[in-house]
Amino acid sequence: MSDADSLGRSVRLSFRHRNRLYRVGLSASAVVLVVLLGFPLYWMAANAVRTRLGVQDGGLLPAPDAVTLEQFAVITDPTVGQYLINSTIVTVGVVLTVLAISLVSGYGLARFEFPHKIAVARFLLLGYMFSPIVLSIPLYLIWDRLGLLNSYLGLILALSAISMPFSVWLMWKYIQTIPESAEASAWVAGASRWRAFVDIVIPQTKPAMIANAIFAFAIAWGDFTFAYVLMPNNDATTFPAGLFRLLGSQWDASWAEFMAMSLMLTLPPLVFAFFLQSYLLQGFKIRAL
Amino acid sequence: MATDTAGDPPPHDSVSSPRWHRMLPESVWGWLSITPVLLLYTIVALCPITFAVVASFHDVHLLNPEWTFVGLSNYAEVFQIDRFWGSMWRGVLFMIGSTLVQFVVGVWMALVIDSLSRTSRLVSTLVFTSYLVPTIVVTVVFEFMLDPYDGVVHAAGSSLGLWNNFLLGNTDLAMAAVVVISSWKFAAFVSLFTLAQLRSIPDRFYEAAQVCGATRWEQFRDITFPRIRGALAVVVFLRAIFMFNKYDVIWQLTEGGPGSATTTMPILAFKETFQMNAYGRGNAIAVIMFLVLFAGGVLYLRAMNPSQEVHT
Amino acid sequence: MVSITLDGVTKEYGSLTAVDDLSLTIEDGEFVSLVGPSGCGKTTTLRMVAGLETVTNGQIRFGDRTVTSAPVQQRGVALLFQDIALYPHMTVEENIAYPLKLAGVNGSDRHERVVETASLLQVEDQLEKYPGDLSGGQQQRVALGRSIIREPSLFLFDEPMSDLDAKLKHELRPLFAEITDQVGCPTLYVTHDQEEAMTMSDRIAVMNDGQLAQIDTPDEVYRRPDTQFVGEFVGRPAMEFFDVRIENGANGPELLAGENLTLAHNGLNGYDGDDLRVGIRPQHLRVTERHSGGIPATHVFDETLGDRTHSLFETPVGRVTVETPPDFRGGQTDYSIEIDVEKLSLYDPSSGVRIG
Repeated sequence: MSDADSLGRSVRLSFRHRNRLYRVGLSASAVVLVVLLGFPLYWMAANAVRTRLGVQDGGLLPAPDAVTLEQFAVITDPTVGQYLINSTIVTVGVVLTVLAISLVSGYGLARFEFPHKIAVARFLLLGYMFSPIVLSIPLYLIWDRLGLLNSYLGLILALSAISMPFSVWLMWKYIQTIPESAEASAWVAGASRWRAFVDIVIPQTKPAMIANAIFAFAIAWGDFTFAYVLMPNNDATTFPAGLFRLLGSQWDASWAEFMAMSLMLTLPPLVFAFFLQSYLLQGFKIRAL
Repeated sequence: MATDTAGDPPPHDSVSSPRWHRMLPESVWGWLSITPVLLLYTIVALCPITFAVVASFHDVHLLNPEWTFVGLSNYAEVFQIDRFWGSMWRGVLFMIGSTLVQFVVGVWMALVIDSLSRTSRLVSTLVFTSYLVPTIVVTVVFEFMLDPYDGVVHAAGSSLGLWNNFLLGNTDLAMAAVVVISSWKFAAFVSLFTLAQLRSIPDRFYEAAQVCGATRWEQFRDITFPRIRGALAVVVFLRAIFMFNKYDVIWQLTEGGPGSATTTMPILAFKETFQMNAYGRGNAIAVIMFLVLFAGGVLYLRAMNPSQEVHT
Repeated sequence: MVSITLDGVTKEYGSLTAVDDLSLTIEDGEFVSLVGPSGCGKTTTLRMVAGLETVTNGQIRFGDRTVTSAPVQQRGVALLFQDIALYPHMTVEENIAYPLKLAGVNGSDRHERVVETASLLQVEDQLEKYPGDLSGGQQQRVALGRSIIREPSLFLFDEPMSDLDAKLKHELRPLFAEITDQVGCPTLYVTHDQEEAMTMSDRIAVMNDGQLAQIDTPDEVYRRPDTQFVGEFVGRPAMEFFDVRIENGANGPELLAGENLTLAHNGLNGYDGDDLRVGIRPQHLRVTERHSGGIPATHVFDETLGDRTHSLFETPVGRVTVETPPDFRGGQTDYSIEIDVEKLSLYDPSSGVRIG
């Protein structure tokens, strides 16, 4: 009895020690991570609202008299404004294209039986191997001959293609989880296949559509390589490639203005990351190929 | 259909003749539904790759529409130039280095987020943000932080005696700096991938282990690790492929410099094509990179058999 | 309103025959249950009638209109699915109204008919809710409402109660019967639950291995199962079967099992020398003190059900269940079991088909 008691106690004690060690390690890890990941973002935001002099002074917290929103006036610059418009058009175009194609193809893979279906689906995965730089070199001359260089359409096509393997697989797997009976009951009630798809299936794919939209957004909004090569004209290019050109140019801008532009580019991803992270994670779960 | 006989009475008013689409078999509908994807792949991948192969057999000057057939001499040239093998070496170095850093940091982040209860949303939001934020923002912010005059990280690094001038201009340290900065951006991919796997492990496994008296380490060793092992292998493979082809982050930070200190294969391909105006040679490099990728892709599909690993 | 006829309907998936030459007529207003174990082809049959599956061979007629290859949209059937299949993104009202919307009925008429149907099913105060907020029983009612709102020519049920608890089943059975009666069209009700089929149907069609084993009133099917399979599948506890040889003894024909065990005397004239398989319901077996006649039995276990007891015995011809009085307690001792020869059903021992 007493042996068992002392054994139990010693186990409990050591458990308590180990538990404390674990807690300390976990908290320390969390702090380190927050600093590592958060500091560059914080520094960007902090310097986006500083005056030029404030930026030079440094200091972890901006001095009150050095705080200003005037850097955001950079958006009224016609070049920067044009980048923003181009980025928005291309991103919206890619998101819509990806949603439409992934819905139709995902539905087809989920609901129709056809020969070589699995082989085709696996072939789609090769899309993960599409490297923007490898593709954009030959695409440059092809687009040039087709007149798609510097066109929104050309960039939207290229970016949609590299979003496909993920979005179609996600939609396929997601639609498989929707019971076919809901759709069948619409057919029984007289709905055509298309009507039932629109009325019954599409509304139920909302989580997958959100995940697909965010991933397509991330690809289109952040793309540098395709935009840099396929949109050589400064008026046609999107924000990432434009910002890079500004950085290397003789443009008279301070770091504060670059931070302000960076912050504007970061805000949409930040909002999505905060509010829609569960959808993103869901997507990654299915992406776990 | 064969059972419909001519002698049947006329159908009720609700029955119209079968519409044309009813006559198409299911398999045609299946193929039609994936046609848009296949079309996109054809336009954006298959055609360019074919085009690249053709172009790589020619001497092409970007500003001159005349193509001269030169056979394999672009390839011969590519394999002979020093910068090709140098870029290959640096590319592999960059690939291994950045994949390793991303893997270690990424898995660590995932485990921390998965274990945290209260603050996990803050950490996970940061991780998701770093995944979603455009690469150019990352490079601009790091360029700023490394700025020799106003940069906070530069100030810290130089006061510790780690480096003196602009870090990205330092021939010896530029590659390491590029590896670290690109890992800041791409470790999140590993994290999210791993986290999704971690979250799909049912709690009852851990509860059962706790009932048996397993310590945290034993739970990790016997439950967590075996369950995420497959995903970790996949993510390392994907990251290695992606990093071998990484162009944007390196170009934005250093344009391959100083000298050729950070010139990897993608940078070389870009330079040859658009700066040396040797479009044929650039395409030859692109084709070589594509073959490496393709071999990797086939290997990936063979080894992982992804259609069986997908969990919904 | 019309009758529904299946004429030699066959469904093949590659080399697998799911439904084999099935013929069946459901009269106008009749409630027919299609019952059988899982995989017997009953759901495939229903889906062919609905138009969700193509027919490999044979004909399906609604009245005298052949619908064999008509698309599902044009058959005008009502179908209640096992998983209820309400549209999760629509309110109850939108769910019930959806068939009308497809038919192009305008908004106010739709609302009127939805309210009418909903009050018939006592869900009129749930119209604003989403299906996820309803209880299982309410969901069934809404699904029922959605299927009857367009006055179907045929009512199909695909195991709609298999996922429900016993209490809910008892609540819904009379409702289903009442509603189908009111709608007045033929009803085909697929289930694997023989009790459900027995209690609700005008006629029961028992399916096994893609073939129709028997179709008759619940009473007939219970009393005179056409095959050994039907006898085992319909009725609880299941019919008991013994392989016997009929030989003439001192007091007339005797039923012999094995080498020299006499199961019963005084029975079955006209089968002298035949090998038979006999089936009998457990309530037609009688337990007595151990004596030389009857089957020697050792008591194993009692299932007390309140109004009766199901008692399990070990005998030389295998384990046998007997229905005993409510207060019977076996106490693991020796008994004899007597067979009421009048109540025996006789089957061919090799084919299991009824011969008398």
